[in-house]
Amino acid sequence: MKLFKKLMVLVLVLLAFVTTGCVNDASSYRIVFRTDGGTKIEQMDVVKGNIPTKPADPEKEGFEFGGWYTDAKLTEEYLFNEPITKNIVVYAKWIGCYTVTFETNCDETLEPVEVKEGDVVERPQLTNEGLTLVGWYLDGEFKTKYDFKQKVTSDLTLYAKWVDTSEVFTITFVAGDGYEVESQKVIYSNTVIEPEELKSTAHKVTGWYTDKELTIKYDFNSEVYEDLTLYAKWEQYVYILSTSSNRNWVAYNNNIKEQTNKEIEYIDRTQAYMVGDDNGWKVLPIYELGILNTAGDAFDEYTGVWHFTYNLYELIGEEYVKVSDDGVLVDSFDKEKGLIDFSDAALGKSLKVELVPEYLTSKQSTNEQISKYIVTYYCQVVDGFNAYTALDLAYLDNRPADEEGYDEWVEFKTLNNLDVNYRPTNVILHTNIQVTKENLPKQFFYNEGDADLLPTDSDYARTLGSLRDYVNLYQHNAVGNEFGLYGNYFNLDTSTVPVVTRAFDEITPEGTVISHSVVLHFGGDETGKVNVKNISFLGNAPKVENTQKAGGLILIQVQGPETLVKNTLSNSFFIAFFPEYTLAPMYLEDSKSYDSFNSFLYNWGSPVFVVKNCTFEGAGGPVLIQDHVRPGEEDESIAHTEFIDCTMDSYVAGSEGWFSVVNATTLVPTIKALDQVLNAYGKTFLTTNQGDSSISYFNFVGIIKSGNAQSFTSEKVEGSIKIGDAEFNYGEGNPYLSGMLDQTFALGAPAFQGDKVEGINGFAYFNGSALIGVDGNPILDPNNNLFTGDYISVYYNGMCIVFKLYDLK
Amino acid sequence: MKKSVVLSISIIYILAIVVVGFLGIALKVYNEKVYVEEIVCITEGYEEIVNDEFCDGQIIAKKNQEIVIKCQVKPDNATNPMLRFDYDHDEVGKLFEIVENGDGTCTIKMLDAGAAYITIVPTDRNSNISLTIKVYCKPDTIDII
Amino acid sequence: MKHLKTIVMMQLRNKIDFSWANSKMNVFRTILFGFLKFAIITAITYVILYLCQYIGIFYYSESPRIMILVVTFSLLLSLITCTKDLMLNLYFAEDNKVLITFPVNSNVLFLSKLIVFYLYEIKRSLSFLIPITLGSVILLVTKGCASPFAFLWMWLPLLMIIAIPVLLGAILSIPTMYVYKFLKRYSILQVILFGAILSFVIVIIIQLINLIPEKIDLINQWPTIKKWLYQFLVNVEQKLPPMRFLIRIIVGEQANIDSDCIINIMTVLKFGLLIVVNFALLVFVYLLARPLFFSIMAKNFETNKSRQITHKNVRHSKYFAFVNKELKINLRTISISINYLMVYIVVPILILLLNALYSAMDLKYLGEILIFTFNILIICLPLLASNALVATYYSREGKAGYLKKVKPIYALYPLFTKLLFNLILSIPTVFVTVIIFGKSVGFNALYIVILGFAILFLHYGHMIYSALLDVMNPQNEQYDSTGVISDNPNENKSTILAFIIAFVYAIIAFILFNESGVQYGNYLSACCRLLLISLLYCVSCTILFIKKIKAYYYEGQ
Repeated sequence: MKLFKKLMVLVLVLLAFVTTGCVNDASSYRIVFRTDGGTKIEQMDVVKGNIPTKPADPEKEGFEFGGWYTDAKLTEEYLFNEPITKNIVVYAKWIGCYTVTFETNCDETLEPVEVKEGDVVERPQLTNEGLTLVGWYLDGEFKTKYDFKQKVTSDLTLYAKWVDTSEVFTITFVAGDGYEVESQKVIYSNTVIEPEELKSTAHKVTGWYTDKELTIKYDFNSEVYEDLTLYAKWEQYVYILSTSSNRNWVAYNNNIKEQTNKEIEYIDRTQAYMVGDDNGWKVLPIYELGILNTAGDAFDEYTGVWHFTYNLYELIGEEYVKVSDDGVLVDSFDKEKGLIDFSDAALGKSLKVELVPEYLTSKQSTNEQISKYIVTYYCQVVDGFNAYTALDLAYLDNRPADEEGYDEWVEFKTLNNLDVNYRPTNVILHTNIQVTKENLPKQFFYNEGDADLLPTDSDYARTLGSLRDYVNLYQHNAVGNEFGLYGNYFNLDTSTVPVVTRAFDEITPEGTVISHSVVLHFGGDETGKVNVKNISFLGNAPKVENTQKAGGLILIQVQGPETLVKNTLSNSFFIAFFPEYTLAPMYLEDSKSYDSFNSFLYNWGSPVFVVKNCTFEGAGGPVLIQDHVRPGEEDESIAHTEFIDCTMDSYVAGSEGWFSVVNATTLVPTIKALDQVLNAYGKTFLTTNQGDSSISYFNFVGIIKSGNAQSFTSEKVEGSIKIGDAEFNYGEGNPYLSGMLDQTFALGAPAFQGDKVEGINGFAYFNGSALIGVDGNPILDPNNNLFTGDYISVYYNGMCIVFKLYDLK
Repeated sequence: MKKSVVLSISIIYILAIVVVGFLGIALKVYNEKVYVEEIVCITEGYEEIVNDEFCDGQIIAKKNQEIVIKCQVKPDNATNPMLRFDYDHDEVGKLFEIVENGDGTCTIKMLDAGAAYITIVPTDRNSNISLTIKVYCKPDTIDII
Repeated sequence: MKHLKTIVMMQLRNKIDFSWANSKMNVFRTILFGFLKFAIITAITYVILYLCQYIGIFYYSESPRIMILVVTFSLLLSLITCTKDLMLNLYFAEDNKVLITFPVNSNVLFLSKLIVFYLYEIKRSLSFLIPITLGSVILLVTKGCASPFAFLWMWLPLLMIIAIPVLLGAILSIPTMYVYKFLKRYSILQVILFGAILSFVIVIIIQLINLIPEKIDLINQWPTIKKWLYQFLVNVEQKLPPMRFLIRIIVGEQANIDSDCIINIMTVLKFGLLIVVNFALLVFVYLLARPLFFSIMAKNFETNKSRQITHKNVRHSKYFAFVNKELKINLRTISISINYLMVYIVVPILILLLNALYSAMDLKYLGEILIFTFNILIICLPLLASNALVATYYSREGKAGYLKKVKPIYALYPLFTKLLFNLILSIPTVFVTVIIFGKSVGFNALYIVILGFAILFLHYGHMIYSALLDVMNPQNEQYDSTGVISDNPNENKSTILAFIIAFVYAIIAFILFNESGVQYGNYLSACCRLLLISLLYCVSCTILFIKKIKAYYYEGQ
C-alpha cells in the first residue's frame, strides 16, 4: 500500500507538470512618446498582437496638437489602428498658431485673428467715408504690400493704407468672352498692376489695348492720371496636333472583328452600336495639344482641354444625310466633355456623328487637312441609359419595395448621389465595366460587427468580407414592360466580387459551398420581357482546383418574364444560365459559355427553355442539370429543355465542381461501369484524351433528376431534354420507352436510348449480362439505332443521364 | 479470437478504405487554364506615363520609322499567351501602317504626323486587362501654323 | 450402431450445449436465433455481392469466381482449425482415458470421434460457409443465371465439401502432433516460434506500406482498379482448378462466363467423383490415424520432469499472492498470451497501414471526418472484441473457481487481479495506436492524450462488463471437462456488445467531430465529450461490477 501511495503521488506530480507546461509566453512591446516640449506622456506597454489605445492628447502652449508621427520629420502618421509588432517611438506634431493683428488706421477696429500655420489670412473689409482703402502693408511706412494669397508662417501686423477718394482712379478691364477682371483703384500717379494672364481653351491674352480696335498697346509702366478702360487681345497659343477615336469606340470595332481565339468571337457581329437617349454619349476623341516652344520651331507637349462641335447625319435609305435642325434630335451637347444627349425624336434612327475640333488654324481647315481631325461615330438611338462605370449599373436594379435588398440599394444610391427613382427602359454599356465590392451595397457582404458573424466562428477569417448567400446583385422585375441590357460587345466583369463562403448563411466547410447568389436576377411575370444582347460576362468561379470558388456567382437567373439572351459570351461562373420555375419561355441564342464551376445551364422546373446555336465548353459537371420540381404534388413543375444546333463539350473525370459540392462522386463508378456494356458493340463514352491520360473522362451533356433528391431515387421523374430530333423523356408519348422503363424501374436495370429512334429500334435495357431490346430479344447488331447517333441516354434509378457517344478505338 | 470476429473486422477494414476513397475525395480538376494577368511592354523607346487616362505609355516615332512593338505577358506559364492588337482601322493607310507579325509582335510605321493608339489585349478570355501604347509622331510647325 | 449413436451423442453433448432442448420455449428461442443469424449472414453476403455488381466489379454471371475465392478461404481456415482441434481431440483430450474403458469396439470409438467432429464442423459452417454460398446462389438465381433447382441441389455437395477439411485434417494432425509435443516440452520454443511469425508479418506489412502509391484516387482511377480486380479474379479461377471443380458441382455447369449455370448430367457425375474422393480419404485416415490414436491413448503422456527444483514456500502478502498467480496463469496459458500479443501488437500495425493509405488520398472536409470515425472504429473493434476472452477468465479455472467464494479476503481483490494484466498491458497499446493515428492526421499532443484516455476507458468499461458477464453466468463445468469450450454464451454476448459499442461510439464520434469542426474549427470539444462518454461508461460498469459482486458473493450476509 505504501508503495502504491508513493506511485500515485509521483503520477500526480508528473501530470501537473505536463498540464502546466503549456503556458504561452506572451511578449509585449513598448511605445515611447516624444512630445517635444508638450505635456509628458508615459511610455505604454502593449501585449504582442494587440492594438494600442491612443493616449490623451498632450498640450503645449501656443500650439495645437496635430497627431502622432513615427518619424522625427513628421511625415508618416501613426494611427493606433494596427496590432503592434515591435517597439516604437512616436513624435508629437505641433501646429503653431499665429496671431495677425490689424492696424486699421481708422475709426473701425478689427480684432486680431488666430491663424494656423500654413493657412492664409482673409482680407478684411473696411469702409471709411471719403477714403478708399488701397491696400494692406506690412510696415507702417507702407513700403511692402501684403499679398493675401501667401501663407502665414509667423505673427503678423498689417497696416491699412487710406487715400482720399478724389485721388483714386478706376481702371476697368474689358476682357470679352465672358471673362471678368476686377477693376483696379489706382492712386494718382501710381501704376496699374497688370492683371494675371487670362487663358481660354486655345487662346490667351497677349496684351491690353486702350482702343477697341486693338491698335494701341498699353504700357503698364506708365502712370495713371485719369480713369481708363483697357481691352484684351486674344491670340491662339495652343494648337491641336492630332485626334483619334476614343478608346471605347476602337474597342467596340475590334470586338466585332473576327478573332483568332474563337472563344472570344461573338457569333453575330453585325449588330449596330446602341446609344441611349436618357443621358449623354461620350464621343470625345483623344487629342494631342501642343504649344510652340520658345524657339518657335517645334511643339512642346501641352495638357489641357479642347472644344468640339459636331455634325449630325441621319441614315435615310442607304445614305447618310446631314440633319438640318440639330436641336430637334439633340437635347444638349457638351463641347468640352464631348457628351451628346439625344432627344426622344431621335429614337429608332441610325445616326452618324462627326466630331470636329474648334480653333483649327487656317492651314488645318483646308478640305484635305480637316479630314485628319474629324472623328466619326455611328450609332442607333434607343430609349435607355448609357452606363460607363460600375456605379451606373446600379440603375439595372428596379426591385420593388417589398423585396429583399431594396432598402440596401436605396441607401447605396443615396450615398453615391444616384437618382433613387430613376428606372431606365434599357441599360446600355459603352465600355468594359468591372464591378467590385465598392460598387455594391455593403449589406450584401459580411462586415465586421454583423450580428451573425462572430469572431469565435471557425470560418471568421474567410467569411469576413465575403458575399452573403441568396443575394441578387442586380434584380430587375419586368411586369408589363420590356427591359433590355445591351452590351455593345463590351464586357461586364464580376471576377473580383467576393465569393459566398456560407451556403444558406450557415458555416460551411470549404469546398462544399453551393452558392445561390446571382449577378442578374430577372423577376416579374409573363407580361414582362427581358432582353440581354451583345454582351460578354466574366465571372468569379472558374473550373479550377480552388475550393473557394465553390461559392461563385450565378450569372442570369430568371423567375417570371419572357427572357431572350442573345449573342453573349460568358466565362467562369458557378452556373451561367438558370431558369428557375419560370413559366414564361426562356430563349438562349447565339451564345458561348466556357469553364463553369458547376454546370452551364440549370433548368429548375421551367417548361420552355430553348437553347439555339450555342457553344458550351468545359463545365465542372454536366452541361445541363434539369430538375423535376415538387414531383407528385399539386404544383409540380416539369422541366423541358430543347437544344437546337448546339456544340456541347463537358469532359469530366468525376471529382470536379458539381460532383464534389453535391457529393455525387459515388455516381461516377456506376456510370463508368456502364461503359463496358457499350464496349461490346464498339462504342464508348469514355475517353483518355483529355488532361491527365491516366484517367478516363466522359462528356456529360445532361442529367434529369428529381429536385428533391441529390442522387439515386425511386421517384418517377418527368421532363425532357431534346437534342435536335432526339427526345430523352421518360417515355412521355412513346409507349415503348415508357413500357420498358416501368419494367426496368422494377428490376433496377439500366435502360438505354439512342438519339435516333424508330419504333422499338433504339431502346434497350441491361439485365446484368447482355443488352435486351424492348421485345425481349438480346441486341446483337452493332448498327442498331442505339449506337449510330451522337448521343445516348441512360435511365438509371430515377435519373436520365445523357452522354455523347464515340467510337471505341 | 473467433474466426467470424476476425473476418468481420477485416471486412470493416476494407469498407473503411473504400468508403473514404469514394465519399471523401476532394475536388480536383484537370485541364487547369492559367490566364494572362498583366501585359508589360518591352519595346525599345517605350516610356511609361502615369495619370494619363488614354494610354499607359508612349513611344515617340518619326515619320516612316518602323517600330516593332513587343510585349510580355505575366505569368510566364499562361496557357494562351497570344495577344490581340486593337487600333482604329479607319486610320490605317492614312496615319499609319501596321502589320501583325503573328508571333505576338506587330510592326507599325507612322505615315503622317499624329498619334496612333494601339491597345493590346489578351486573347484567352474577354476581360478587363489591356495595355495601351501611344505611338506619337509630332507634327512639324509648318503643317499647323 | 446403437453403440455408435450413444457414444456420438455423449461426446456431442459435451462439445455442444444441448441444454436448450429441455424446454419448448428454449428450443423455439434457440432455433429462432440460429435462423436469424443464418439469415443475416446470407443477407449481408447478398448485399455485398450485389453492390460489387452494382458498381461494376463483375457481372452476375461471374459470381462463381467470387464463390471460388470465398470457398477456398473458408476451406483453408477450416482445415487449419480442424487439424488443430482434431489433434487436440484425438490425442490429447482428457475424455479419451474414460472413453477407452467403454465396452465398445475400438473402431467404433474412432469413428465416433470423427463423426462428432464432422457434425460439429457442419454446425460451424452454418455460421460461415453455408450462408455465404446460399447468398451467392440466391444472387445467381434472382438474376436468372442459374435455375431455381440449384436451391435444392446445393445442400448435397456442401455436405460432401465440408467433410474434406475434416478428413484432411485427420491426416495432417499426425505430423502436427509430433511438432506439438516437441514444442510443449520446450515451451520456450513456442514463444520464439510465435515471435518469429509475428516479426515476419510485421516486415511484410512494412513492405506493403512502402508499396502504397503516392496518390490514391479511387474514383478517377476506377477503371484501372476495376481491370486489376477483374484480372485477379480470373487468375484465381485459373490457378485453382480443384476449387472450380467444387463450385461447378454446387451451381452447375457454365459453358462460358456469360451464360447461365445449368445443372446437368456432368454435375451429377462430378458429384459422384467427389463422393469417391471422400471415401478414399476416409480409408486413408482409417489406415493411418487409427493405429496412432490407439497407441497414444494407451500411453501415459505425462513427461518426466527434467529438473526438480524445490522452492521454499514463501508467504506473500495476500494481495501479491493473487497477482503472482495471475502472472503464472497468463504465461502458461498460451491462448491468453497469444491473444494479448495478437491484439496488442496487430492493432497498431493495422492503424499504421490504414493511415498510410489515407494519407495518400486527397481529401475534403467530409473525408477528414470520416477518417477520424473509421480510425476510432478500427481501433475500438479489435480491442473490444479481444475482451471476449476476459469473459472466460473466471470460468477457465474450472472447479477451482469455487474456491473464490470461500477465500478469507474481500472477493473483489482476486476478481480484480485477473483483469490487472489486461488493464496494464492495454495502456501502451492504446496510446501507441492513438499516437500513430494522431500524428497521421495532425492532432496536437493534447488531443492525442484526451483521445487515448477516451479509448482506454471504453476498453476498461467493456472489459469489466465482460468479467461481470462471466461472474454472473459461470461456465466452470464445461471448462472442467473438456478444457476448452466452443460456444461460450458469455463470449458471444461480449463480442456482440463489443461490436455494438464500437459502432455506436464511432457514430457518436462522427457527429461530434463534424459539429466541432464546422462550428469551432478545432476538435477540442469533440475529444473532451468523447472522453466524458467513455468515462461515464467505465464508471457505470465498475459500479455495476462491484454491486453485483457484493450481491453474488455476499448475498444473505
